Amino acid sequence: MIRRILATAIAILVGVTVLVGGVWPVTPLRELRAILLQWAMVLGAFAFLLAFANLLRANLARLKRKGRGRFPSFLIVISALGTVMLVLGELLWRGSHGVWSQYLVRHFLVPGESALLALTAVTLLLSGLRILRVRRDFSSLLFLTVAFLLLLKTIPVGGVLRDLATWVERVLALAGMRGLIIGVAIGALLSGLRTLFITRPYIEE
Amino acid sequence: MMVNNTLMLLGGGIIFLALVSALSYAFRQHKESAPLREIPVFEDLAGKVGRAAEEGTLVHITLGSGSLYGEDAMTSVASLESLTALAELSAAYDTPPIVTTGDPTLYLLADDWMRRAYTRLGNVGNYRPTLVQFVGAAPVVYAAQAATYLYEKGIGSNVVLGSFAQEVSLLSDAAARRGIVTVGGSTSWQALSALFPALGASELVMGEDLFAGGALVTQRREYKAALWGEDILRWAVIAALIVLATLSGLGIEVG
Repeated sequence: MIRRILATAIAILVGVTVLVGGVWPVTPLRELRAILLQWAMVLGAFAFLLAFANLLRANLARLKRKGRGRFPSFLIVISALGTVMLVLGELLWRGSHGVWSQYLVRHFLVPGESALLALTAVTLLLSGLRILRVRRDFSSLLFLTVAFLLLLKTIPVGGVLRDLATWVERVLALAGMRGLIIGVAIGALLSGLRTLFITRPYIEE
Repeated sequence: MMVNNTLMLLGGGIIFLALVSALSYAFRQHKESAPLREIPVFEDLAGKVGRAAEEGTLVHITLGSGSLYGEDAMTSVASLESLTALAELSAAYDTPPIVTTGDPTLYLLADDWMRRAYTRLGNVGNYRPTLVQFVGAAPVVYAAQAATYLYEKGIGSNVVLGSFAQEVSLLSDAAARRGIVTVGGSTSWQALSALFPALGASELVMGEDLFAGGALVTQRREYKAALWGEDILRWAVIAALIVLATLSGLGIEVG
């Protein structure tokens, strides 16, 4: 019982401090908020260690099973262990770390992510092409028309279509985006307050 | 500086009071019979587990990369709340889904959420630690790695719910190629514009509707009240925007 009350009190106190510190960034609330968020970052680093262990365990389990996921899992296990050994080796051998891990980030991670982002462009295009085969309704047609109009704007053609595309982008798309952001902000605020004060999922059942 | 601080104090106080009063008012006034929004995706989520159990397939749940100490924290929490019924049915039928996350803190929360669902139903002995998996820290790497799960045997349906951007198309494309039914939603326009062509409006949860999932799925009073409070505030903001736009159109400057 005391544990529940204590957990609730700490969570509400921390939550309210962070919230109030965000709304009114005045001394000492601003500093207190920064300290609490730093603590959250430290906990996040520990979460990374646990997640890394889970990554290894899940992929080792996947390696034991037969299936198409074995090869990616093999690569993940090798690269994860290799990276850890490399960084630890650098720390023990050179007494500092950063150079080798920076090399890995620059020459493996960044190019790999860029390649995947390029692939995202292809999958987006394929989804757009697939839409009329899967669903032929008004919203799909409207979606494709607007996408085509905005793509047309990127090539040097002038006239009414370009003006229309600019208007769609600056008025309709922007209004929709703002509406979405405002709605999400209200939803996040209310859900946050409900989670903090009413449903309290951070207490053990 | 002093005036700025006072104004911030006043503005923040009004916002906070509005939120708390909307929430408490909604909590007190809300009747069980009050209608909620209809979002087909959430109504059908639990059914997916039943169908998966009948067909002997698995449900793959992707929760995105929303960190618990970032701005997408509540999107991730709301996504998990929407999956409460699905998690409990999975525990009851012992047809565990595969849950993949792209953030370490979200992985811990999702693991705890699933474990609690198994505990509530007295089936914690069957809970496996690899049921919830952290598959990659960068969003695009996470989406690509989670997509490889769809190529494995036994995945019958795919739920994409949480914080994503355009990289979600890697997942929806893989599902479309494998003929796997996908439902889900997100709060960012990048993810929604990538998901819309693949899913369609009836299988997509757009923006703030994602925060309604907990109320629709659990039917608990406090969730419904918060949703009602959200609707009150939404209409208040719409009214304020219309008034400000009208005043601006009439040449009257506000603020």
